[in-house]
Amino acid sequence: MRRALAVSALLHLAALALLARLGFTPAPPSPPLVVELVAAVPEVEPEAPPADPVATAPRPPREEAAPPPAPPADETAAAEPPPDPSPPATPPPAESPPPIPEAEPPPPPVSTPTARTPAAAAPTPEAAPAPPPPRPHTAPAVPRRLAALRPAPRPRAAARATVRSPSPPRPRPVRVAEAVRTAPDGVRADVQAEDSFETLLRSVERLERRERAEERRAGRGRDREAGRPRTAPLEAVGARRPAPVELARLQRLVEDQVYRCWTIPLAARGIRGLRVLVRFELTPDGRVRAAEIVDRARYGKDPVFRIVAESAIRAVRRCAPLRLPRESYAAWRTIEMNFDLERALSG
Amino acid sequence: MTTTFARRTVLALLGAGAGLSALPRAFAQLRVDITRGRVEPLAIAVAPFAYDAPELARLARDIPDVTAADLESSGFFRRIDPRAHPETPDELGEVPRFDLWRRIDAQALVAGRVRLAGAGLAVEFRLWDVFTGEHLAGFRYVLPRAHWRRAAHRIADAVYVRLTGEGGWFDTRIAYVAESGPATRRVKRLALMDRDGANHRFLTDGRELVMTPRFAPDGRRLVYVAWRGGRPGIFERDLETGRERTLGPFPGTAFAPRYGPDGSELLLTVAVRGNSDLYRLDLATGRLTRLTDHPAIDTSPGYDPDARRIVFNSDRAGTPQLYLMDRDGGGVRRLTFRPGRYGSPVWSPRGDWIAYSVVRGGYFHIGVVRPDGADDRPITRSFFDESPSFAPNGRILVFARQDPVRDTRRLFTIGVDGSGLRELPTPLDAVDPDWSPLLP
Repeated sequence: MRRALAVSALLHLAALALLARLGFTPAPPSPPLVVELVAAVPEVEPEAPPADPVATAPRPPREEAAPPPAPPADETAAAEPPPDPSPPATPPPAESPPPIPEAEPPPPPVSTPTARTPAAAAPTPEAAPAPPPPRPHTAPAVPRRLAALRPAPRPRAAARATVRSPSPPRPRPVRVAEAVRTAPDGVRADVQAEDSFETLLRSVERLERRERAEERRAGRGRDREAGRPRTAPLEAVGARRPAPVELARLQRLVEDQVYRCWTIPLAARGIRGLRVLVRFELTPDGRVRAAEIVDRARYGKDPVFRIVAESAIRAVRRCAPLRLPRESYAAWRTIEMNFDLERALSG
Repeated sequence: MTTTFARRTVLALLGAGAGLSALPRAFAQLRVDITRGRVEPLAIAVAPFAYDAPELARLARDIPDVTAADLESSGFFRRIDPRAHPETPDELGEVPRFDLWRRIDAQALVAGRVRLAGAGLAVEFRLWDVFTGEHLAGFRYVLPRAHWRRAAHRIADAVYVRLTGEGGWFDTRIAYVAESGPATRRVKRLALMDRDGANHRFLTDGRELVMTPRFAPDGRRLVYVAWRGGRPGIFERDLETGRERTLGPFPGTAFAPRYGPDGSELLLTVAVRGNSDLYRLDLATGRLTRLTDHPAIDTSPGYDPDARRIVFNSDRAGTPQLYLMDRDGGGVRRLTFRPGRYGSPVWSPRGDWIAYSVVRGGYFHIGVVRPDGADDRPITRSFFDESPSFAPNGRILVFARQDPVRDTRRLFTIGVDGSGLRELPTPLDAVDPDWSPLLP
């Protein structure tokens, strides 16, 4: 019986070998991966040099042949990465066993990483040149509604600065172009942003100044900081409080548009009572000028909350420009949207 | 990690506050509840990668394909057909033209590049939020060429983590027992494969009966039961060297081994003269500590992630139910009280659930229960479901299911919430799966 068993096993093996070209290789060891952070703006150029190594490295070791032997020595395998010029700098972040999470923390040090990171240093200058090109293209906006999104690159840039700062800046994505538009440190972006929608803001400001002049009651007109155009005080707005009926109508208008654009993060299913309040500031033509997560503390420490918050902002941007009655801009210039995940999923 | 993340975010927020005045909160007039949304997978564009050596052309397609397949298998993502992509891999080299990608309504975009690095590969990718233009993640992996699939899985993990807020689970393996042959002469072999079924291989030749493979927390060792010379023994195998060692001796028949969370000890069951009790084995010293001493059958012990509590299965109340006890064997309390015969409990790596199998009302179920006994509920129902094991992120389970009609046994994955049932491809019948931790 034992023999029969063995025979049976052999037969199966043979069949398998044919069928699935699988063997009993002692589990091929998986050497730990070397992981490095990649800056947002690919320094394709800088890396060009490494490209040369390609030429030098043309040795066709790639064929599976090479790897097999490698199996036994994982540690060594890990050591192999050195071939990559930059390894030294990266190891710290890389070594992290858990893929990303750990790798991310090191970001700070990343600044040092060889060629790649230098990006951080050159952020401003290089960055600017690159991004601009895309925008111009966008200008030739397409008639479609979505296309409309693009035309307003300026406002978005600004908005992004605000929104973005909370999330992305965190890691090292200090890369060039991004650095500029993402406003990792806020300041540069600020300047940029200001430049960008200067025009638009100016018109808004003009409008507000007029209103303000009319309303002008308590001495609350002080503009915040120098960037007053951006924050144009809304006191004026308060004066003309829309009737409840109108508010209800606006609410319906907003929800009808936004929910169609909100892709609910399915991974957040099963989390009870999750709601994310996001405050949007819109331009008179319904684009997002800025977005702000109200519960910043939770945004900073609850990854799932953060994902839902990001999905919320993405939804509104995806829907923009929102079509809302222009005459009541004052009423919808700032909107708080309460994205109620639980109800959305139960409905 | 959490704290680092929080710190960074706070800094970022401060930066934002300094540069951009906060929104005028006091004047927000309109408040809108968004209580509907689209329940659908996120549309993601995973572009073919750029490459700089002709021989990499194939990998430049295969890597993103594997990444996309991983993401789609989660049920949370839908890949946008690359034929609809508005930019080529080379055009994507710099910052993408988001306006173009918005037109195909991609919400996220993965772009990457593969190049030769010494004898191996350097694979890098970037994840973008198309509608905000934000760079969400980016990593470079340097690895031997033969392991290119791992790079693809790592990318999928990075994307998954960033877009779902959950831990990764793609760069992992599954060990199981492959079965073949007639019922009276089953051949059982230890098998190992990547989570997606690739790189399948057998670790034993089928001459001996094998059971219950379990990964060590570092993913490099496997402990299992095998019959040698007519007797069952417990063996530990180093997956990298293929070397195997025998554990024990034990005072009786030992089975159901499972590592503790730091890999330095095993919990197991030892049956002496028909009575099974639980023991702990220190792998360095070989010291064996008895944890239970009860005439009932106690088995299937497993730690919580902190190694402070142990869940196990016992019929001390009549039918098999799940119990908890402290690390030293004290404080035994019953965890489950619903009808049915419970078995094979396993604690989630996140600590928030205990999964098990149960026979109730003529069906087999995989079920989950909170460690305090709450929310006990089945998530599957079939003719025969058994042996649940958690993915490292604790959100997905793998288990074995027998199909009485086709007379097959296959592995399936399912979300802890009961969603997303999927079959894992295996060349033969498969039972007793164990999910590895994330690979180093």
